[in-house]
Amino acid sequence: MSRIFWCLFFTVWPIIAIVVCAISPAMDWAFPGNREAATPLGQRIDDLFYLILGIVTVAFIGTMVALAYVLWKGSKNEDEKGWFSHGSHNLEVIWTIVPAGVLLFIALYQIDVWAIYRVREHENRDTVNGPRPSHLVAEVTARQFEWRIRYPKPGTKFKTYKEIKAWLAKPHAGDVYAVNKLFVHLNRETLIYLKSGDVQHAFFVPDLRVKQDAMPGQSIDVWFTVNKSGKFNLTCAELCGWGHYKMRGEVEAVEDLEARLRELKALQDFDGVTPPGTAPAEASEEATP
Amino acid sequence: MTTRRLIIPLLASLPLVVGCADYQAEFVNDERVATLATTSPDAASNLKNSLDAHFGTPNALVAWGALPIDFGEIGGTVISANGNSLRVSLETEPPDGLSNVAVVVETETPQNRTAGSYNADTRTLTLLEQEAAPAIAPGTSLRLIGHKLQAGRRLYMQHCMHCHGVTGDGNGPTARYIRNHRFNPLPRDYRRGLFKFTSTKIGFYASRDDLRRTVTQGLAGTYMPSFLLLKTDELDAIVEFIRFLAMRGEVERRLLDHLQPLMPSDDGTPPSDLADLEKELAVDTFNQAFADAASLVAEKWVNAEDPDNRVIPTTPRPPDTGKSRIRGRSLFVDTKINCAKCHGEGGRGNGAVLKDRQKIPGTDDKYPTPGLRDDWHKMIQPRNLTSGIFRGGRRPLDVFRRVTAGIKATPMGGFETNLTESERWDIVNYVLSIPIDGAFIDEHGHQYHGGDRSHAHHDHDKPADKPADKPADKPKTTQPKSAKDKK
Repeated sequence: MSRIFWCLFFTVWPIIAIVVCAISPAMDWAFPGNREAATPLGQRIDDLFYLILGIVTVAFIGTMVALAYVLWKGSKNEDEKGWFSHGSHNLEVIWTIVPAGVLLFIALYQIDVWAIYRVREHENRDTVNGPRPSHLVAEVTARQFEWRIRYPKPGTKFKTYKEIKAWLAKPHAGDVYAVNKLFVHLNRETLIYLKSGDVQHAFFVPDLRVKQDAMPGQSIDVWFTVNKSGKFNLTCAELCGWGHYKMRGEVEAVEDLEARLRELKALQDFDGVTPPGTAPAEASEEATP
Repeated sequence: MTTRRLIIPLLASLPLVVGCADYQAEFVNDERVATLATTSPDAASNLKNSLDAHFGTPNALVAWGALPIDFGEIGGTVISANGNSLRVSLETEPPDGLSNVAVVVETETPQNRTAGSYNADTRTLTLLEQEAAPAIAPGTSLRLIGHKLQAGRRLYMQHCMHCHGVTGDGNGPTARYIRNHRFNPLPRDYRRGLFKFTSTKIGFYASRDDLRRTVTQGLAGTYMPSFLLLKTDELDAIVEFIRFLAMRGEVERRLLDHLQPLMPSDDGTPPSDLADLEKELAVDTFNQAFADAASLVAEKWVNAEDPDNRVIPTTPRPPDTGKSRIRGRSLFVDTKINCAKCHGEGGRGNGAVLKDRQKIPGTDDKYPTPGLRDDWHKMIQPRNLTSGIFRGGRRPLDVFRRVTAGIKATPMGGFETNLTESERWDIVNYVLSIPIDGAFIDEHGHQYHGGDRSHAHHDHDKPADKPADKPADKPKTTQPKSAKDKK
């Protein structure tokens, strides 16, 4: 009786696992963003995840079925003595080589994604004066408990990383300031520099599969290309204090980013008289000293 | 043995059960109420009861019509009535979970009832039992009052309470982390009606728009974060509730001033003619004093909404030229208004005044230590204008308002009378340029950081940054610095 119980016990788990996997899309147990990342890199990260999930599923079901089979067979066999496999050289070699091979495969397979995610841009960085694509640069400063954002003056095109560094170092005339809401390009690369005003925070946009710690004293670059328009939740993913949960922000991808930044700038330049958006006061020579 | 196995886990899980017990929030009374109770317990309880009657408790708020607050009102008519359960047609759909709001039923003599619940599907409003309430006929009109205040309370408890406290006294559970810091501003104590960053003139309270702006934008550089992603109706509800708490606190404070003669003297002895005073202040004139306090407070908050009491410049901001900045700089260090006295020659917030001991307001004594204090006696620092952080906002309009009306409840005064509007705009142009180009302006009109930190001189020494042959009033806003760096 108890033999049959244990056979069933070990057979039931792989069945449950398969059932859960099969119904999970219908139950919306999936990645944020309707199961599809809003960045091309995020989609590749998801693919990697699914690949690993597949390998694990095969291994899990395989071992469970084998275990159930062995138990079942053993339960029928009253006479034969068990085979004690400890110390079997061949077996040791097999279960070392097979996982090592799988691991090596994953390591090689993911290398490209990781390179795009964290490395390739740094290589470009070495040629600091070389030409680079112009894309949005913003400085995002995490602080207890909000995201303070600074964009360069609308229309600014940085040609080199050196110029970006100079911009990051101090405030500049025409900078646009914002809080808790980051506008980014749609279908174009965005580069942000992440800082912390106090303790450690983490810039986490689940829909974009972007997560990066913000470290005090460091300016960390993060880049991504959003290819779906819309608004995405921005949260802090590093327990940063009692108000951690308050760090709710939003990333919005827009078609014409420069126009949006000009709107923000017009509001920021509001002087109480000239309606924002109408002819900004152009600096000119004054008649009277 | 078996019993012990059961009892220990049960005991262990007891804290969980107790911890989840229904927590009843309460408004905390001013400290002076406890002092008052030592000499005149009757007056103290009279005060508490009156406050509860007109403002309620956090879980049973009262929408007192004497206050200029949008409590949230929904009109409607009764379609059919079955005792306390009414089928109604309401003008707008009330929020989910409506309960405990006031209902005014316009029967022949209007009834003040309380709604127990509302079922949106059947459109049934259930009133709480009330003795000897006359029957309600179909067709009677009614008004639900208070859902917005309740929503505000709910949101306030989620987002604001842990710093600002249930009562709005700036003493919530997390306030202590801020209190321990010498210069961090404390969470605002609403009970005096004082809010620092407003659009209103000197002596006026904050308007709804001011509070909205502070909640959505936060106060940069302080612990007040931005709540930008609140929905408009949520924001409005929170602002109404903050105004409600401010009014409650101020009415309480003014009543305590009225009852001040009943307070014990410093050594704890009650006043000699306590019985007479008690009868006069706590019985005969108390209700009148309560009504007076409420109408005075209401008037102040109404006035804050009046557009005539807003600081709005009549002329647009003049172009941000070198000449304008130089005029601003000369006013900054001028003895007439002397910004540099507090903000320092280099704008770093380290003026000479910080070395002096300040007078305690309302007394002849001085504080024991030097430094500036706000009206809550908390040490504060003049703004470091080089930091690029503008707590009340960085729009030219914001800075203009700071220069014109000052920062309420702080030593930062307003200069509406001392300066003309164009002088104030010059200061605005100059102040906004400080974080970027530096506070000092040399004889050629070049701006540089310096004075307080020796390494800051480098900015000025770098010839590439600002060539000497450039005209002094070359507009600086039109060109990002990064572009200049390369030249």
